[in-house]
Amino acid sequence: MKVYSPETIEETTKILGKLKGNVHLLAGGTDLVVKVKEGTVLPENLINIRKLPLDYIKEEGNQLRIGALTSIETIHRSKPIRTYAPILSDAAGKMGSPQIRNLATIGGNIANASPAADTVPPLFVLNAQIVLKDQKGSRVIPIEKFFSGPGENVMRRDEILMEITFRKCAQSDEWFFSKLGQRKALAISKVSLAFRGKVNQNRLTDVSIALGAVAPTVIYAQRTARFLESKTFDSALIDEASRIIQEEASPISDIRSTSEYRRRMVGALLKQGLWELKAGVSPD
Amino acid sequence: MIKVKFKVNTEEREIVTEPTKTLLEILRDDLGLRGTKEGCGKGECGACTVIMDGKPVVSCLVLACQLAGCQITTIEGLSRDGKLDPVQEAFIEEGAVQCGFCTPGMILSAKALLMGNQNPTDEEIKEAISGNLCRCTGYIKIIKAIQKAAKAQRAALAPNTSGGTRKNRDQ
Ligand SMILES: Cc1cc2nc3c(=O)[nH]c(=O)nc-3n(C[C@H](O)[C@H](O)[C@H](O)COP(=O)(O)OP(=O)(O)OC[C@H]3O[C@@H](n4cnc5c(N)ncnc54)[C@H](O)[C@@H]3O)c2cc1C
Ligand code: FES
Ligand code: FES
Repeated sequence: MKVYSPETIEETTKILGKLKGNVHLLAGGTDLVVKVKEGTVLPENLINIRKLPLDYIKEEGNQLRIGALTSIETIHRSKPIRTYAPILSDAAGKMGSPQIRNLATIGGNIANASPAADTVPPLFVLNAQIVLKDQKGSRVIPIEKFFSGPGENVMRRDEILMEITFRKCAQSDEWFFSKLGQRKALAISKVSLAFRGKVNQNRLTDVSIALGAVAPTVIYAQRTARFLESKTFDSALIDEASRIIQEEASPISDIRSTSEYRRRMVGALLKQGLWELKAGVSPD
Repeated sequence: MIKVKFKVNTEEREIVTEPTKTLLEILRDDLGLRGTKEGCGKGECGACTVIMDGKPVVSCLVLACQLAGCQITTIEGLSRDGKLDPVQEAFIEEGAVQCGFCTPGMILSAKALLMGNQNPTDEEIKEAISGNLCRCTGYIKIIKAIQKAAKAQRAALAPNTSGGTRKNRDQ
């Protein structure tokens, strides 16, 4: 195996452009090193990108830009993210353990393309854009177009994920991120749900819902989101939405849970989150 | 093979190694620092925790090629001039050690917490050690020990203000 440790983006894309055979970028290593140890990935070329200047969180007007090498712990603790994308900070804080979050990067979480990646459902409801770069230039892909299957994404082999950008949330946005795992710390999600919307005069508007670990990739629950909008926000609406979202999800059975359990839990997570939201916004 | 230069505890080290060797293997095999333990080798148990550039990380998932210029603190680096760190003292006094296998990692997670938070709540302590599994103690004595170490550290940092207000808050 050959290992490269480039110090600039230009050097990295040049190496990527030249190398034949399989190539793996190494960021925090919390997915890749485990796979190499288990023997499921046998890299011929490893490019250690740890030293690249992609560890930043920038505010630009109404946009936030997060460098791909920003650690999950930094994202969890970041003031601008807590203020303008609290759902992302919350989800980051629910990942792994402190020792994992300090190594793990957001770029790695996205590029790894697990349907259970915890930053991804929040990035769906934030309508995030992914910036990729190769030797010739950059391209921007909406997050929902980035994944092509479990562990698969649309990146070409000579591209690097540079940054993630999205619009700041308004103070009036309501949100929740719920994750169901085997236990509180160090648990990969069996099911996760990100919700974002507004409440006006007891009606929901601008609803966006994303589901993790119930389909080959993270998905939007569009039918449920449309159903929830502009109707009286009451218990009948919540019950019906929780039924519809179970139809929308297409979970698999695997070693972590059966599909029937996952489907029901999606309904339960939505119901619980909406009830808490309702209790938080209405005076009674 | 690659050459990497990094700092372990107070010493600058330069070693020649396979680029994909883990920090855990380097510490134990190349440097003879066996206080760092290997449990799962997959990031799940925390037995291999060290402090890297001020932050706790699992050394079983850090590769040699990522170490250049880093500062690593292991359990061997906590005592000063033969005197144990307050966290180590507190673990002994509270009986927070049984088989001892989780202890080095547990102490380093606690140390990393106390470097940034002098007065942690029990919840913050639980969060800080959530990546460290202990199969013996049931964690209660560990949390007590970390509270005790925090208190000792506060007392050491503010020797002249051991008056009423501080004491009251600690009780
Ligand atoms: C014990 C444990 C617990 C975990 N818990 C969780 C959890 O609760 N939730 C969760 O979502 N994940 C969890 N994970 C998975 C993992 O920590 C995350 O997915 C993490 O964000 C991966 O980031 P990394 O920097 O470590 O990626 P790496 O392992 O370095 O890379 C992962 C993949 O992405 C590619 N890649 C990385 N960066 C780039 C880039 N900039 N451009 C292009 N490709 C890139 C790599 O080539 C590789 O294929 C856990 C892992 C462990 C070991
Ligand atoms: S040995 Fe590293 S976390 Fe278990
Ligand atoms: S003391 Fe035995 S594992 Fe913790």
